[in-house]
Amino acid sequence: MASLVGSTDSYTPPQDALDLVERAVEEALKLGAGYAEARYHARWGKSLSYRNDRPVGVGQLLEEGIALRVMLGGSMAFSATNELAGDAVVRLVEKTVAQARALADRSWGAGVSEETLARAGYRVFEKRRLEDLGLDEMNRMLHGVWGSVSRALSKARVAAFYQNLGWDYEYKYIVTSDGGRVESLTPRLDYFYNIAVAGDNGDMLNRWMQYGNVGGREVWDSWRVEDEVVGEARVLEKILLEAKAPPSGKVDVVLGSEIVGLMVHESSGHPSEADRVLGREAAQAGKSFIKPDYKGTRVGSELVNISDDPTIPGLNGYYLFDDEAVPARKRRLYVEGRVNELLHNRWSAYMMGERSNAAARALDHRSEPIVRMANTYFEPGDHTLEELLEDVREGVYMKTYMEWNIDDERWSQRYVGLEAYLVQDGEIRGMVRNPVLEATTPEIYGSIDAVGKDLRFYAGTCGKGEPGQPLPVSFGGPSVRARGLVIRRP
Amino acid sequence: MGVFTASLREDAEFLLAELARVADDAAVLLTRSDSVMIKLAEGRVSVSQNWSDYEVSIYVARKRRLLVTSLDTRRLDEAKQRVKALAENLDMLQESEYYAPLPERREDVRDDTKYSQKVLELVEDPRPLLEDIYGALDRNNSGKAAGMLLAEAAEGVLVTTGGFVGQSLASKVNGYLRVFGERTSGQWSFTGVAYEPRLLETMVEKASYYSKLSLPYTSIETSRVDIVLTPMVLGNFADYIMGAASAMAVDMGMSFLVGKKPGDRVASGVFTLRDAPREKSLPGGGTYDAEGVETRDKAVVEKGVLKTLLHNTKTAKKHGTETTGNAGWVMPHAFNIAVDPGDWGEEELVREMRRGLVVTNNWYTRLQNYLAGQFSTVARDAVIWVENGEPRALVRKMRIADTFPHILESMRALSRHQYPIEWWEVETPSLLPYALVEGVQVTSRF
Repeated sequence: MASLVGSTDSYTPPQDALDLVERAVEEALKLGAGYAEARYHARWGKSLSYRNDRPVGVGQLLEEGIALRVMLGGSMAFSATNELAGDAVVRLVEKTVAQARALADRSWGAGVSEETLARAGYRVFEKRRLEDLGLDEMNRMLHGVWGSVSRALSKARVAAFYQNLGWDYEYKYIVTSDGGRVESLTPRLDYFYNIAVAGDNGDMLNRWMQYGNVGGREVWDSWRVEDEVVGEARVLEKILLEAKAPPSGKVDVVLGSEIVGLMVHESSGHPSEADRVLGREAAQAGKSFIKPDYKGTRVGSELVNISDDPTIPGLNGYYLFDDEAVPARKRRLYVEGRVNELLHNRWSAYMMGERSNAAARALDHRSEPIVRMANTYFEPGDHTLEELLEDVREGVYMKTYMEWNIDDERWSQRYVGLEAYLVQDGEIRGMVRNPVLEATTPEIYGSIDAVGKDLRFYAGTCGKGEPGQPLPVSFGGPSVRARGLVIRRP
Repeated sequence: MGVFTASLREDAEFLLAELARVADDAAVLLTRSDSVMIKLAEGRVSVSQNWSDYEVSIYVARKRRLLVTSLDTRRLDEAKQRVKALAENLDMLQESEYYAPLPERREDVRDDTKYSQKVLELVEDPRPLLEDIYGALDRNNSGKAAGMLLAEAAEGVLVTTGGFVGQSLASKVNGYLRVFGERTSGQWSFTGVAYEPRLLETMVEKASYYSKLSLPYTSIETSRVDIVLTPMVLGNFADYIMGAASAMAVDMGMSFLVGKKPGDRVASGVFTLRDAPREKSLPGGGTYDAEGVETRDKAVVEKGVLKTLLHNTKTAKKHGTETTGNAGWVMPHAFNIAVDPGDWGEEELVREMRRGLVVTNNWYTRLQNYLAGQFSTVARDAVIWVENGEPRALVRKMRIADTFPHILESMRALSRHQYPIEWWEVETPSLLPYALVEGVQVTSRF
């Protein structure tokens, strides 16, 4: 039996499991499935958590299994197991096909769109392999961050600092009954921190942040974590010491790239998921303000161009073929302020008479492939931040956030600024605390009159599905200027 | 499945013996489970899902350094080798301030207090669940529904170098349903160790009732109002409040209970919040925790007073107290949540409020400041405006934007009936009443 985990240079997936994937699809067809798809899906990795100056503990992940999805008679059934034996997989196929058949009279409808499917494989290149990133080096990395953070403040103190650094590899082998066959190996590095800063008067603030990219050990250096965390700690100190109440009422708002990135994920990416538009997630993540006759619906000014692109190398949601073997491409969700394209897997495309654009993703072998984002971003413009600010007479520059949410049709958004500034006559005049922006999706996108060129991406974990599938994604944008939005005090 | 199998125990004891060669303390938790989930959308089945899992969780402490491994594979030999190799590398780290030896408890415990054999039949064939929900939807004249039904059966074995051997059988039947009506929607949930058709019926009735409210729409201003929270909303808040009571959340700087001590008043006198691992109707917990410590039901907040944080032996040692039997090898957590009932009828609570809102469901709770407990959450489904104690209108959309300390201080009355709730936004199985909270900050800009 081949090893589950080998060197990523010489990684040899377990052939017995791959054979079972092929066999599962064959057996399902023999039993009458109209469509079948099977996937061997493995993940393995390591993590180290730290509180203040020392480790809390080490984490280790190792998982593998086979997922099977069948469709027949308008019914869809999914099964998963980590029992990688021929008789067990045959039993699984029999049960899944029988269940699909038994539930057909209650089923909503199932099928897959016709696509040109991939027969391909790829591995993501690492300059320095993550599996060579040992505990000693991870320890030095996190201890180094603590060292810098612990010395960062002079007028407030770091009350608690928690970090977690982890890496993992994800291997997938996907076979569909209509000819798709895709193999991939993806390394990913993740980092999370939470810092609590306390002032003399007992006032405390916290900031958490997540980093994540596809790639090798070199990703860590690109994050410049020590500089970033020290900067964030000093911002919290400054808020505690200096921030005043924000203005209240209708003002101009310059939104920093961190908020713009989150905003496009929440109010462009999610409502563009075709399964939500159809109502498949209605009891969980909800529906969408975008309706099935969506083409051309205006949601913002002509400067609003939002895309989702899985093929950008290194980003947290990177892939070249989706989990239904459809070749990935950039999806232009909003173009010049109008809804242009939904995110589809083959099921939603079938139900709406469209084509898949390779948005099918599954977290692990226990998960069905559903419509997901990858790397969603506001296309950059040509303004510098100074140019965005210079003709704001009275306004707020909200650079970062902590609290946010959006209703389940993706219509009403709320962001509470963390690092935020009063802007008067084009100049930053000092910090303001907790400015609250609550507005509808078209109010925000419709008020954008200038777009920066400072495009930056942020890592996130997107939640969807039942059971939940918390997937790595990224979202990004440049800073943008919005005219006349209502800012409130908390 | 359905009996205590020797092979699972043998696997666990084999792994523990191997790990004990490189560890000062070790624990192995093996879980074998089978489950089925039916998802509904637009009143039809959108997908059925089945899982057959075999999971291995391993805890190793070596020279006061900690390793926790999560393995979802049946290749035990390879898994064992990889855990041992990593354990041997722990020496290069500094000692963890959370190290504490696993408790000595030389007992062999069998726990089937959370098991119903009949659930296994539903795992094999979930159609009776489906027929029951369609029957209830027909009786309530509610066709346009979405939701989920889950049946799950599991066998687990925990062995520790402290001498503990625990074997458990567990089952769960859980569901939630959202019904869409002409003017609004309603959502409800149920959970249990066994399948109780009356709970499913209640879920459909409640979701249908709220979805059919035929009232004019109104809007509200950003203001402070009295609110009756349904168990769905109270459960979401209780989950966050209980999360803040984990001693590790306090140490991480992610809790509004930082700086609070047992004996401090943190809520109004009507509010009692319990962790209830022994609650026989709820599927969480059992008779022992992940360190082999005997669990017990306990008040975390009793009549408004903080009684304890949730501890495992590690956080207890750091905080200078005793474990509360809430391991989590690293993160202590609640197994089930119970908010004690009051003595009010549900309609009585609304009449007592006279003027305010009934918020029937919520989602997307996020915190601006974990240390202050400052949060907002979005109401979804029916939000009812009440005047003179009577429902008068539906509020289309709104948020609650307040702090958990203020919500806790402002609890005024609780209903006498508790509902077992578990869904996306109430992750811990919970027994919850309706609650009247005074002067809650709300916002509306939709």
